[in-house]
Amino acid sequence: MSSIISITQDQLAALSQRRHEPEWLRSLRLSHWQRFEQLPEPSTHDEEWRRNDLSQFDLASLTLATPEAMAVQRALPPEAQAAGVRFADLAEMVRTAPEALRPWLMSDGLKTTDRKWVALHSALWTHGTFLYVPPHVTVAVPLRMTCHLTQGGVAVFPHTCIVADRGSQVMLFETTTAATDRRSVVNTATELFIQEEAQVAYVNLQAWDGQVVSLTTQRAHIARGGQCTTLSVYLGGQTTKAYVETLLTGEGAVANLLGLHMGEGHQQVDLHTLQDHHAPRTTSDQVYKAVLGGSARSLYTGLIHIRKPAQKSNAYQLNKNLLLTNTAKADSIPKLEIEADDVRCTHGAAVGHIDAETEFYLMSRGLSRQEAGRLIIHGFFEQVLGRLQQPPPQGAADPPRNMAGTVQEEILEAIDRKIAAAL
Amino acid sequence: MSDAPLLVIENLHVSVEGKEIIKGISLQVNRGEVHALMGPNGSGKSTLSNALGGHPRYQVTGGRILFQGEDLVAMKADERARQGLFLAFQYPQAIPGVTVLHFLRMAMKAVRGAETPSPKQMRQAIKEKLALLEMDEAFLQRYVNDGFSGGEKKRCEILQMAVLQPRLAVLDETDSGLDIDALRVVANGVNRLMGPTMGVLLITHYQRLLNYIQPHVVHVLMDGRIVRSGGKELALELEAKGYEGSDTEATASGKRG
Repeated sequence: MSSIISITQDQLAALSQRRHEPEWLRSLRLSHWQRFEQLPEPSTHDEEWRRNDLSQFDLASLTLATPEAMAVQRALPPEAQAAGVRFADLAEMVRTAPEALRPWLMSDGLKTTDRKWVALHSALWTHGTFLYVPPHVTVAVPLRMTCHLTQGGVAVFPHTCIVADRGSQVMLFETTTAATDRRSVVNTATELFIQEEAQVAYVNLQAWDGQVVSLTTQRAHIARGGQCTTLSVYLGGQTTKAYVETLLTGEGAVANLLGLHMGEGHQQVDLHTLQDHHAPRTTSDQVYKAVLGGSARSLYTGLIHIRKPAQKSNAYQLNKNLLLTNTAKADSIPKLEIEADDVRCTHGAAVGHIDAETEFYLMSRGLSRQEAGRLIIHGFFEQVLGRLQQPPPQGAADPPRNMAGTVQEEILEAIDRKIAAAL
Repeated sequence: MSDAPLLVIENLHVSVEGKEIIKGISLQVNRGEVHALMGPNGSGKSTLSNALGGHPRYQVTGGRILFQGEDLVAMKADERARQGLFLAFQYPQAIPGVTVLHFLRMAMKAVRGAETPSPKQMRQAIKEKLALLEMDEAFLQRYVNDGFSGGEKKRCEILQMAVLQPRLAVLDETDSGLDIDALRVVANGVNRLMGPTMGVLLITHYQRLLNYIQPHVVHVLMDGRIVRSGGKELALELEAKGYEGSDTEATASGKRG
């Protein structure tokens, strides 16, 4: 990994200069670069890389993506803009309002990880989005962002930084797609800062094409009384290695961590989740479900860590896998680290096939074998997807509309395309 | 509509995993008729219903089944449903995450094909059938058979039958596990749905369902063969004497030679 795209520290400094980045940002990049150089290379002797093919992640033959390599679109409704919401390109923010970024960008969010490739991301980020919601502002519709990779043979480092200030509410729906002809490595990171009493829903629909290998990091910090729902949908890419980490740092913080994965062919998803409880009376509920066809593989490692001050906390973790073939494979490794004595934790994992009796039952109602499979998969995922509800706006007089509805429908459509290929 | 009889079973043999369970059954169900097929445990009742439904594990090794003149054995389970066959399951399967309403719509679409009513008409039709079966509308939002009581599962089967309007309904021990109120509701549902163009094959262990649904013909199944057929009085006789009397006829036909 260190042989990456023949870049040196001087070249990185020059790159930062060309982008007219302020001094603090340049030194931030360089400090992450130095960490990157110091951190040890991943090796298949490490537990976390043991099941991976490291050559897939090799960057030596790739070039650093230019801004044009990935088209990013965002839409910010005028009302939200008028209320002071910022939803903008990171490079543009660097030019126009760098001080608004400074407290957050690549700060607590990522520097505490000791992963070499996260340090590389923090040094080299090529694309990015910054979302800021001011105190007590509710964004009434889901914000949309699409990222489309058009070049192959590149290393891309997209960054998303989300800050929901005190008592604000927002939902962000991010879709990532690609149409490329050669292997690319996408090394993404998302930082979420959910301040006191804020409520955030973050949905990431990953539908890369088969040439993409992705490394994904998501870290959420939830302050006192904050609520965070994240839904990660992994449908595309050859290999996806993802870290979804949630730090409940304030009393009463709540996290709903949802994940769906559908794989076929030789696709692999290697998901590591962390539910890290730092404060009392915090709650985390993590549900991850995978449907696997062909020779697809799912690796799930989930850690619940309840630290000593986090008394009276609840943490739940569930991983369920539905295999469509005998060659698909799912592994589940739950881990618990509990330092407080007055807490409640549960974890569970299950692997199963589509039941022949259920299939017959559905076919006896006129559904073809494929339609029956599709309905079973829908039902299997619905128990995750159905939990994506944005809370009603505070003080709203009308009965709340389910804003998540259109997002759910769009995800189901993407899943249906995948099912058609897998069944 | 074909002039051929609704269901003709001729000298049917069925095996499960190489073991012959049905050993030569013949019967004919005409439109407008209710037939009851009774027999003790292990006589082959459920094997017959699964074979009629087209379960891939049940292999027809001899004889034939004609449904409205067409070879039923050649059709897969979904094709049979589209031709107008309905099997009410003894043990309906749970489908977590799929609501009863969505399931009914999918089934209607699959069975009716081009003649599928509009979503609004579908909803209306479903509501009418719910009322007919004295069921609450909230039922539609529950996941199919997921956490249902025995009675709810059976009502859900009859609701599906009502909505799909089959030409032939095979009810596999629909009375088992029902209390008397549920039995009455299910039986009333069947009676109201029954018409001159429909046929019903009631498969049951007990006579009590026949207090509510009047069969035209009663067949007694023993060890994979129909040993007696008769009118509804046969069911009462079985209730009084049990299946033992019928068994001697099976013996006489050479079973225990």
